[in-house]
Amino acid sequence: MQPAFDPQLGENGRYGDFGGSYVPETLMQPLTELCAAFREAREDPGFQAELAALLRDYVGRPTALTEATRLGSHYGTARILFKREDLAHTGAHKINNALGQVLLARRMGKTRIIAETGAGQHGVATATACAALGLQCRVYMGAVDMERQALNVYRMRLLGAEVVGVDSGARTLKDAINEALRDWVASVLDTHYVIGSVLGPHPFPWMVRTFQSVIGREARAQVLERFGRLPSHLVACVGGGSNAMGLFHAFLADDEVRMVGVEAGGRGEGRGDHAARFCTGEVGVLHGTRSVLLQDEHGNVLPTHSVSAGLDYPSVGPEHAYYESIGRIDYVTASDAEALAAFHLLCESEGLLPALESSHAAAYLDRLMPTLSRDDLVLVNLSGRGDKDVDQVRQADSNPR
Amino acid sequence: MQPIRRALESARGAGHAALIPYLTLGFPHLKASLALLEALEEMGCDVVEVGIPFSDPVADGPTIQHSIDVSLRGGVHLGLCLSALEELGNGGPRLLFSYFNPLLRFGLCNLTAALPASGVSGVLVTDLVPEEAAEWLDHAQPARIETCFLVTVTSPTARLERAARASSGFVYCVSTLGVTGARSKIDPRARETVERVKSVTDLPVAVGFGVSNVEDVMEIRDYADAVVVGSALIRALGDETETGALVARAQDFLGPLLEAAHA
Repeated sequence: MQPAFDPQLGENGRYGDFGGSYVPETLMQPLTELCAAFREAREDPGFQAELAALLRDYVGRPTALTEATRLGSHYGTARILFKREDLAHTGAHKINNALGQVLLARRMGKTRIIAETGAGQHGVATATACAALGLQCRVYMGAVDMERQALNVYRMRLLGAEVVGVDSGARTLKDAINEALRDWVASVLDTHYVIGSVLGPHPFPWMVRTFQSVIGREARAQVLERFGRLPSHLVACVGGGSNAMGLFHAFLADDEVRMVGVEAGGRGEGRGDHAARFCTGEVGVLHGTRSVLLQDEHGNVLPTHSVSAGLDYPSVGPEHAYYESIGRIDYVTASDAEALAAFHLLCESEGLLPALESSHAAAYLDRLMPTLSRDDLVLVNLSGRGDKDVDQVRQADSNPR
Repeated sequence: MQPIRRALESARGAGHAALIPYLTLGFPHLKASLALLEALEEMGCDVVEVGIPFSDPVADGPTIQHSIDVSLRGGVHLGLCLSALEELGNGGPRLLFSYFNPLLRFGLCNLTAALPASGVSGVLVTDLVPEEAAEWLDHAQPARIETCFLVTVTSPTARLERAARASSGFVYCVSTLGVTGARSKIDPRARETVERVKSVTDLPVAVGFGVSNVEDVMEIRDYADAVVVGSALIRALGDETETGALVARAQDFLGPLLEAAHA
């Protein structure tokens, strides 16, 4: 992790008009302390070395960069590369952030960790980091998500974490975050809240992106080494947006690299049928940050739907909202059906089993590839593996709509 | 002097503590909550906090969350609350209690224009800290809307000073770490926090979160200018839905607290 200058990050964690800290007063002092501790850790060679060693020896970084030659031939235009975050320990990019934050929490003297989880990957990553570093762990998870990701619930329990079901609201990721925030307001003195995406009040979007930016730094060096040039396109799915921001960040200064974030188009364009924030969302404040938000005319947050629990969230990281507003990153959607088709295509043509979240990024290839030439080079973030989704895909296959 | 501050100052002048009950508008339904508001004002409550429902109330515990859910299911929202309050006529002073997103969505300019007619003279936004409040204060201050910021038992002095500088009306001291909700005991650090606030400002100071009975009120009136009662009142309303019975429950519960505050 380089102590890189963050030209995009303004005062109070602002990205243009987005970001900030919209939280109950009780959290302001802990957030200020967290921000200071993170700044210090970022510049401390000891902390950096410990994290780098964990990422290398425990997570298995750098993760591979795999050329998808059969998939490339299928489209017959540009070459396709996958950044293989599915090969990271616990099966997704989430571990990069979880280890970074848990290590930081331990350095701050915290003894207890809480986290929220949607698909369960961040919960598993946090439970894993806590087991490895010896901290107590409680994970909040919406009751609906617990049902559709039952395997990950059991994994977290095996790892020694307490999993608490959340029955309020839509009983998904958003509600799990509400409950984690309520816990944190009461427990800030000994507890650190490991937010799993580039969301929440400052310094979380900045800190999570910093821990995840290892993805893009590795990918950039790998592509340059192997091809002697930069990729022409980057593609990543965007729920909160941590795998996407982690990949994109190292390329932001490379004007020739086009970046595309893929949101969950769900089952249609109606209210509650998707999580396509950049299609119908408007500026709003949720979970401590100002971003683009799916909300009704009275400012209440709308329900969302996606076949993928990890993309099923009504807002998006404020840094994404900023880059969308200045036109640096493009955002598109892929539907449930398109993501499921891409899931099968990657299985059959490449022997890769992508998470349903990552399948949304792969699904965009169907629209992107026909527009490209042989000189283009497309890099897709395969943010996680799909073992957790096999049961759900099996059910979808046996009940085609 | 603006209405909310004046109400607290005059209670202080009379040797009282002010009592500030909280109601979620729309709980258990809009009509009943307006009748409750009128009843509380008639009883002599110094200020009433009127809660506007929001879908994701992260600072609230289960009791107020439930009342907000009921209100939202009844289709209640900020615009509806403001017109209902206006129709009710000028009681007050009333303090609007909400989260930032519904206000932002309504439009801060529209809001400050609509508040006076609804008897609302102040606003407390639970997820708006002084650092982020400039855009709100830029509208509120010229419109002479009072804004109360919160301080907590763990706020360092610099934060207390900042909250006090940004506040008008009063400074709201959160008596405990955690979300809203009745508790068995008031945190002893609340007294010390109020004293710290008073050392940096002349504004009245209110204590809230966790106040549930006469003993709590007696304790707090010793060192603070006002006592806020939220969850305990909502809990006292129970699952009653008939307006007359609701008003009776509120009067039965708040009567002794008001007496203790004004003794």
